[in-house]
Amino acid sequence: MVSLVKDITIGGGDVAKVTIGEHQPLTLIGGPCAIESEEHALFIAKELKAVTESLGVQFIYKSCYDKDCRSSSTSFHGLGVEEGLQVLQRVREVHGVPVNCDVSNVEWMEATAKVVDFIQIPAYLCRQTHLLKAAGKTGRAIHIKKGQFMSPWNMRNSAQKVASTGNQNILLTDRGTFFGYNMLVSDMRCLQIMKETGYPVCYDATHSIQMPSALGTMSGGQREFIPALVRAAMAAGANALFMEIHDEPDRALSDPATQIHLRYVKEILRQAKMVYDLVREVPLMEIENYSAR
Amino acid sequence: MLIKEIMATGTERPMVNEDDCLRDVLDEMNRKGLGAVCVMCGEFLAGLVTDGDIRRLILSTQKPLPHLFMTPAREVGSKAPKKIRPEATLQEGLAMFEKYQCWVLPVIDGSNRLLGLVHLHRLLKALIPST
Repeated sequence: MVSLVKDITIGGGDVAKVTIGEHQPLTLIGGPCAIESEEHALFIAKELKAVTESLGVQFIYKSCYDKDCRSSSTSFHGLGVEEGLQVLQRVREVHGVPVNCDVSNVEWMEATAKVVDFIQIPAYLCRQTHLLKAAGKTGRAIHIKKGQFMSPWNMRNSAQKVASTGNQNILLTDRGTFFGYNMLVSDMRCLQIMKETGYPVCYDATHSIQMPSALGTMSGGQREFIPALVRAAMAAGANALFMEIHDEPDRALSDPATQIHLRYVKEILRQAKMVYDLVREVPLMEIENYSAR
Repeated sequence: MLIKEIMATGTERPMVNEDDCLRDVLDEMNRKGLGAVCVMCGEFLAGLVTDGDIRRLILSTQKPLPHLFMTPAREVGSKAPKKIRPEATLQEGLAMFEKYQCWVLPVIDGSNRLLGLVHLHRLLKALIPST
């Protein structure tokens, strides 16, 4: 059954208002995995804002102040809540774009919601009731990543935990599904199935090619599959695209194997938009299943 | 005797919220043992799910069971089930069961508020006390 998907809004006021939905322009949620410095954040935001504007793609800047799910306790976790939020606030002020940041701890929620337009629930934590409810109560738009271990239909439970607070500004994102150990696979059916919740859906192209902890104390990834998977996800009906983007991915302080180089973003987005727009011109067919008589 | 005198009321009534999932519907069905569940929007009747609806649903889907379990109650069963008023007589109720070939009828007031549920077994027992 083709699902009715509601529009959600992110930002507005001091920053651009982004609306994600079935009949809205494509949105990129993109930026470096971790906030590395104010200078770096402002530079990447400026570049991505220019690229997205040139293509008619909506833009939400993404970066995180504490990557709590790194493979190793000695890996770089980020600048921390206070300094990280100051950087995100600068991105908002300087470039006028809404910002997305993942929050792993309920104690960080209140401070984060004062700055961040789009609160992201990390995939590994997508079942955590206290975290989801705390996020929902902020009144900010909520971005829930589907756990690599979660079925797409069970994401209804995660969304309902947020919705139980009265907040229905929810985006659900597929970032790959565990395929044995240290390997993910993209099941494009996830996008259509998650739309059954009535919330728009997003495809995370850079984490989907991740090989979790495959390098021992850090994750690997096969970036070469990103372009094909982006086109597939747009064709499968994604309402937004998420990518972690860096100007020197091999030297990135977090997830170096999966972040995509800035120089590829324009062409990937151009192709994504072509497929995205085409899909909206051609209604999805509804086909009946085998049914026992 | 009137329908309101024999209908299941209060916590006897099998009820789920329309946002509840199919798994909740089945649990409520088992708890109340009437072979049907009223799907509610607040205090108003939004639909009815019967054993037969579940049978037809299972035969008409290829979804894996965990996916099927997550189906919202509002998408299952009948959105406009046959209903009866509390002031109807048992004979009128029996005629409805016969006419529509059903086993259960939600009992509603003039505003579609759910008052109770009447099952054919209970109605027959009232009509034929020796059974």
